[in-house]
Amino acid sequence: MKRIYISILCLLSLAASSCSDFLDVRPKGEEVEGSMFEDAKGFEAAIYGVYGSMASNNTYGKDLVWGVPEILGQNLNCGSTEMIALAKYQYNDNADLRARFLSIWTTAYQTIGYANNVLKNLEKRTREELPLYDFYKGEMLAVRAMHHFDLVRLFATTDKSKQGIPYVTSYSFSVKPFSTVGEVYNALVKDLTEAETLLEAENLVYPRKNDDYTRFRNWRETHMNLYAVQALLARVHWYFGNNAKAAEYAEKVINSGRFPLVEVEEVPTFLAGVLSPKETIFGIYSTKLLEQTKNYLYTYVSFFSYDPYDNAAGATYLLPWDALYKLDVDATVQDFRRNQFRRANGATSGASRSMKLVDWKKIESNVDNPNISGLSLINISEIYLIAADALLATAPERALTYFNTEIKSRGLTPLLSAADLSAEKIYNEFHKETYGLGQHWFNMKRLCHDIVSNHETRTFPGNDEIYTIPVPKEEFEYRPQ
Amino acid sequence: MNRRSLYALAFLLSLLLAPQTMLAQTVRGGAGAVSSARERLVKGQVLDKQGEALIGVTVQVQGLRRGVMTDLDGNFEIKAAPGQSLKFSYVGFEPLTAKVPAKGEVNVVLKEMSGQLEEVVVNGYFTRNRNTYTGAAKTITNQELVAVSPTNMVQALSSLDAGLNIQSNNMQGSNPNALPEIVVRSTTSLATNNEVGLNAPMIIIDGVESTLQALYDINVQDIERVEILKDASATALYGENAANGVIVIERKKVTEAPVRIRYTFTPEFSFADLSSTNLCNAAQKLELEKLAGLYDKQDGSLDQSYFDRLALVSSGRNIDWISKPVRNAFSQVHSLSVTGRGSGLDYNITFDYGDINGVMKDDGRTRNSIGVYLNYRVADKLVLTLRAAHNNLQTNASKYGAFSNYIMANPYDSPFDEFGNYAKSLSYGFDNPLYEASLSSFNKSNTRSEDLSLTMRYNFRPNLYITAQGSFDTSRSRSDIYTSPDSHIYGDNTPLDKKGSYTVGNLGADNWSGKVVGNWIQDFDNKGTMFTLNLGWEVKRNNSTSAYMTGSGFLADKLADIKYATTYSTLNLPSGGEDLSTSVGGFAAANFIYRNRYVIDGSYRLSGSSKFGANKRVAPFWSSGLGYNVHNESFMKELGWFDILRLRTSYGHTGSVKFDSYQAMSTYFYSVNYLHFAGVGAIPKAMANPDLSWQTTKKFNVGLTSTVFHDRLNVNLDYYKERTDDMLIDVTLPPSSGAGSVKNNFGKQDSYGMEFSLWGKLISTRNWTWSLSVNGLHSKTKILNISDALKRKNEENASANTETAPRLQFREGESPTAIYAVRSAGIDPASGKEIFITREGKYTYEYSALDQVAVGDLNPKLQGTMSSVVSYKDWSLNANFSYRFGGDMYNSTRMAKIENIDPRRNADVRAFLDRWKQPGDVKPYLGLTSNGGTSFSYSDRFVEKDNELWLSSINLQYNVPGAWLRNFGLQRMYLSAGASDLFRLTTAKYERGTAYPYSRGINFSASVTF
Repeated sequence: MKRIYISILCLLSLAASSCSDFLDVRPKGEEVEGSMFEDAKGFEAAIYGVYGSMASNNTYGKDLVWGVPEILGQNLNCGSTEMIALAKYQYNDNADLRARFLSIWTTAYQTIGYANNVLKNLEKRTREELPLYDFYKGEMLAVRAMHHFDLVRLFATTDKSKQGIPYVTSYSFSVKPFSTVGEVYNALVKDLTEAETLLEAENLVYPRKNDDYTRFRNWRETHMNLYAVQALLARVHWYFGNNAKAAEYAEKVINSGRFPLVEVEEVPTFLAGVLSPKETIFGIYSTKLLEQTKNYLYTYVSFFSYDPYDNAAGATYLLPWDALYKLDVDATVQDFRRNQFRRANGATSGASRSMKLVDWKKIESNVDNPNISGLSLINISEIYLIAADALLATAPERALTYFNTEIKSRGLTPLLSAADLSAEKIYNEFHKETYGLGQHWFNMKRLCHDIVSNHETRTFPGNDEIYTIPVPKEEFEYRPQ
Repeated sequence: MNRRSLYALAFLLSLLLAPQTMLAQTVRGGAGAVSSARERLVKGQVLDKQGEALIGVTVQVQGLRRGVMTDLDGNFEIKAAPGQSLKFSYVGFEPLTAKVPAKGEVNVVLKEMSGQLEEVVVNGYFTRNRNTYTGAAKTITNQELVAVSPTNMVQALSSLDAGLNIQSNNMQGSNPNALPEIVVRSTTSLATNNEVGLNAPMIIIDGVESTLQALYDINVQDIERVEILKDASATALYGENAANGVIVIERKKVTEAPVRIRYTFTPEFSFADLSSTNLCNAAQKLELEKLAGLYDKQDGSLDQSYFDRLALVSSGRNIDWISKPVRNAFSQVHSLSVTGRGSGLDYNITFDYGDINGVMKDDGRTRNSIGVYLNYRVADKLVLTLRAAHNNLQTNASKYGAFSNYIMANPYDSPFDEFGNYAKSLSYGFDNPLYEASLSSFNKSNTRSEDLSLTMRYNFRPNLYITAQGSFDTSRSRSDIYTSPDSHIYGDNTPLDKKGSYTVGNLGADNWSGKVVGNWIQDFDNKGTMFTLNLGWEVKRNNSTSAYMTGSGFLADKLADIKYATTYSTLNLPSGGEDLSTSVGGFAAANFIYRNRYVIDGSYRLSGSSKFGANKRVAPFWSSGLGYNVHNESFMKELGWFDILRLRTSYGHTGSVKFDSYQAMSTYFYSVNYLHFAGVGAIPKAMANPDLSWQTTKKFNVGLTSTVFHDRLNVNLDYYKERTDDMLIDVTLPPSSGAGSVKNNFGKQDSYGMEFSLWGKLISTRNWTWSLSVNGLHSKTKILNISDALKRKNEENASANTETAPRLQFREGESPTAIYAVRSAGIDPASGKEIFITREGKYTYEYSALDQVAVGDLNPKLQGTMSSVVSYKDWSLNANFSYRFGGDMYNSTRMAKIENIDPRRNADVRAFLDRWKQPGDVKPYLGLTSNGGTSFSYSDRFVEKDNELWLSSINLQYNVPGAWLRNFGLQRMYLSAGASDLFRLTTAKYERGTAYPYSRGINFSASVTF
């Protein structure tokens, strides 16, 4: 009798011991988080997923580059009521526009979440298990910082004591508190300096060599590499007014010698739907970009496409693109960037199109560009100008050198002396150089510059209300008070 | 009557109840009362009326604690002295005492008690005597089912038990391929995304978890009994699947020895019930169009097309469109079973064939199955049972499409063009549904499944045994959907290689389960003081997969096979799904009864499921119950007129996990949308909720069961109260968390209800009996707590205006089935506009979705059935009326077919009458507009009381007398004729069966046993 009971008990306990394995079912075609992060391959796939999701239309695929900031910066014009409201800085009037802000906000935080999930799983591993541990961690910290930086630039004022955005460092259900702009700045610097240390063993070289045995260490310009982190640090410090640090990091990047400026004849197409093997410090790879830029920037569709302000058809904009490129320069000199604007193939009349980011050769004659297709997010030319601006007060000669190096590569005549260089000239050159790349708006905001509104054909002073897009109300709706 | 299996059940029970002291050949001296000198070994046999051996009958020497049990052949041996009395007792049989003769054997025949099936409750794990049962459970026998409806099992169940209700689906009507939704008592989950089956009870067939579809397709003739388990005490052992109740079905085992062949033929004729449609004729429709201003021209004259149509109408054209797609359908079910017993082996082989046709032309549901039941006794200790079945099911949807297309067609339109071919389109460019039906398009599926289960029972001792069951079932099905290239959905501009599509779907499911239950019964004093303990453990694994592939570019209508596809479809990429879930559970159930009177009962279950979140791997469920058999008290026995008076109550925690298998899991998926130059990226599918857990439903039940005046009157009452906590609903997070919304255990809901059934035998003479019964359920549910996300969804649903009835909303403090609409003060006679009443009670012409309040509830206050059974000799007539009172409905027929009509489509004839036309008209409906039927504003003008009484079934049976039959070598024969849904009284006039009409049926059944 007793033996029977014991045998039953044994049977039950035997079954119970294998129970937890039995209950761990795995869906096909998907990896359960635990097994995903078992090896380097899984980590790398998850990191590629993070970069891949950065190519979303809502963030770096469009709206954080030219989709929203270029409208705000009065460089591109779009006839939809949503974009008209944006061009007039009427952030609350249009439901579509509010939805767009929400999707930028949501998608950016989603990608931040993905990066945080990789970071969380890295904590469970050691450097012995993952040879590229430092790279994974450094890159994900940098991605996290980059998103937060763009969110704080878009949705908060430059006043460090004011409410900023939530700086999110975990992927979980918990409600994340808002930080002040100053706290966000500190967090950005903390994440980025940690990333800089982690990425010390960076192997990006010039000319680019993509023959490393480990795939992850090739095509480094598609990763948040060491120089991208330093360039981003320069951007961050410059935006928050720390010129010394900005110059320090900008010079680190410039002096690395890994990012030469392109030759003048390369200027018209070096960013046309591709990452430049010279100037791109960091860009996203995307195969969908061609279709995207074709639809929005190449083909002209009323109320839909994004067009440069152009007075060719009789309009009287205050600063159309061709006027912009005449600022500060002699009319006899050719600014090669003007070739980044042209009419679409076959179009004999009408306004020019901004072709800077459009691989029009592929569209028009199906010629493949050998470079990586994608969108360049941080370029060396911008870093030269940051260096020039940051050093203008303290080391005007060095500032002049950086400025001249940059404008020379664009086909312009170098300035003769440091006395000729002014903050305004750098501002204008920055405007010309970052046309279509979404940086001009934030430079205006940094300076709380007057707004030269092409859209409304008037100039008016900037203020916090104009320069700060309100945080989507959905963020507060579900926040416990 | 399935006698053999009754015996088997009774045997099982007797083992449960048999006191340990009564083992065969176990003699414990009865205080030395009788001297051993006079005792002898008495042998004998116990048989039933049919001469079958009764196994496990308790034989006791009266006055002594000495007893034995009969063996497999009904034989027993006991030491007793001549003159002493032997007492024979057996569950389900009337006890008998016989004097011990001086010599010779004692052979007795025991008589069955009536209604003995109800004496036990089978819960799928073990069997309990109803005497000791504290749960709320309804037992339904095969005879009861067949007497109500030999063709529609689900309908019969809901007629027989008020606690089980079919959710009405006015859209699908009597579509044989639309599975009904059933709810036991009250709902426990909110279908916030219109999920189907969230509140469906668990279905167990012969101890194995099964599906609603299996229940729907089961042959009523094969069923032995159905148990509907409702409260915590009855269901807690099902743990995380128990919250919505459990339906336990036992199929027939073996009827009689040595060989019996039973054949049943059940034909049914069904007719479409179109009486609820009341459409305009051609002349009325044309006039309606004219009034709506469809023909008005700028210059005040009428458009030429009006005169063209008028000419058609004048020539007598009046097409009866709704009669075009319907038919009088003939369905048939054949069932053959061969049963027998020999050398310890019982067998039952069944063949079923059913060909069910609905009233829409050329739809159908054909099923056939072969089932084998083998039961083998290895000595006295071991019983092995094997059940295996092969099933095949083919379904075919009607080519004629939705019935609503025919309701909307204009009667002056001919389906044919001038050459006698089907016209591709009708007036106003609407598609001709008959043209579509003339094409080769189809939508069909074919499913094959194999079920296998092996059960073992090992008796260590008569009061200690173990049962083990292993089961495996697998099904494979293929669906084929062909859309002809000539279909109207392809416009003239569609390139030829994009026309036509053929989708092949391959679906599979493989489920296995195993369980072991140990049973121990201890009798303490032979006077009904007993302790029962069941310990069990079970494991389950369910896996299903699907894959779909679509081809396109069909060059001709007749090339209706995927091999003629010329290209892949660019719209439908290959797709598929996969779902795997596993669970384990261990449980204990204990029951103690003191002197047949006081019962205390408890059960506990620990469940683990792969569906639970990582932090909530093990779920505990439990129940406890108390029972009191008042009728066993001596004072009640003296009273004499109570046969049974039992009070019972129970409380417990049950659960529900009707969510996706991988909902709680954090998974990464690879996608081409996340490409990186160096490799393919993967991202988290959704933020997983590691705390995701089961819904808990706390159930309280108190009930009374009584039988009075020697089985002349039965009264059963049950009151229940349920609270569901941790209801699974979407919870919204601030977007900065990285996830928009997650499923979380957030909601809370309360229900209570009252179930009653009264049964009385009014006449009981030798030839005549007449019994009446009425049962009913009153239930009410209230939502206590919902999330912000759901509130937002409510707002969205409130402002939707394209459907003919308002969408469901779930508001706190209201019923989940409440109807939300803006209150209306009627049509302003002066302006012809509707006057709405705002939330605050102000009058306004402006309709605002924000003013919607709960103006009614779909859930009736009382619903149930009334039935009458009259029998005369071998004839019996069974009539079942169903009723529903106190609920409300939103009459979308009046909304969409009378008031806010699209004048280009046909409408209810009432669209003419009662309309506001000019100032001063006091009318219930707004004026006619030329562009109606697109946007709706929901006001309580269309909310009506939903009271209905209908004759759900009537059935006449004749049992051909046995003596006469034996002349032909037949054992038994019965004939029956019945009808369903013959008449209906309703307070609300609405179109019944919008996409598929309802039908009325006449069924026959003939069964012979050789």
